[in-house]
Amino acid sequence: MNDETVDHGQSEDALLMQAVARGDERALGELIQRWQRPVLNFFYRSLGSGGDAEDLAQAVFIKLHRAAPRYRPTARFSTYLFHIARRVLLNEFRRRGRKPLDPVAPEDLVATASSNSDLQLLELEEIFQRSLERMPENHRTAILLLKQQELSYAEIAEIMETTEGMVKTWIFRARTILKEELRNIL
Amino acid sequence: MTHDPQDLSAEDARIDELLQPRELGGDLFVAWTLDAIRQDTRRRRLRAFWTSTSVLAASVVLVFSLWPVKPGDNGLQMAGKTGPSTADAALYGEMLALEDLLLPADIFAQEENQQTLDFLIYLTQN
Repeated sequence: MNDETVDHGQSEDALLMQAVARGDERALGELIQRWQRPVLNFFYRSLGSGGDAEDLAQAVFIKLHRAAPRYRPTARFSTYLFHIARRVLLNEFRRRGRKPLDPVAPEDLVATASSNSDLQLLELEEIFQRSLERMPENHRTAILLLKQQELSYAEIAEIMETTEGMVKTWIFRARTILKEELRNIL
Repeated sequence: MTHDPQDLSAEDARIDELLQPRELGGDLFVAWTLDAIRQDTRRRRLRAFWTSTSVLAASVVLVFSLWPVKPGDNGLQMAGKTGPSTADAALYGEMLALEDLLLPADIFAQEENQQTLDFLIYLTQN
């Protein structure tokens, strides 16, 4: 066991995972409590629907619970968790490729605007979300993991099973796409 | 189209701001997820139980089907190999007699009687 393994093994998440593996439901609840927001936000920005984000986040935690007995803290817990999350996301895209998309409820897309500035903010948000959804999955996932989840290039490369150089390229392209979209409205 | 670097950094800042996590989830989501995990655990345990039960049942069937049969054991064995015992023949005769008593005469036809007789002759000869 190297130093890095010892370090990760002593993290609170790793300890919680070990407790989950022993069947501790309180530890499982705490783990979900700690990680629900990052996972939900990742899926929300990837799919643009709060309901779908909840379904997929739940699928991630079910897989995490199943994997707990086999979990070894060889990397940061976030790397492990988002590796599962990305696999769940790719499976969802494959499933959607085979089945027609469910119509998104209007309330998922449009929130109520009380003033003109709120309306502009909503418009900006909608355009931003649409441009995120339109870009290739690897570009979007890379920029979300960097900016939303604040992971390092090395961690993103591990999650996405690629090189750091490729991750940087994807993030640069994602930024370029988003900037182009924002230039039209800002 | 050219852009002022100041504008570009403003766009970058806006993108970073828009990518910031929102206040999603809550206690309800945690409770809902824990419930889904409990159901998943129950389903997996049930599936494991049925799989082990099916394997056990298949093993029992396999063992009985491969069990070596010796001459004189109960049951009608394959003709030409071991043949039924006299106890089997006697039992079969009793069964036929009982059936004869229970069934009306017109149902137990002459042809069937002949077939039964042929069978009894076969049993006694073997």
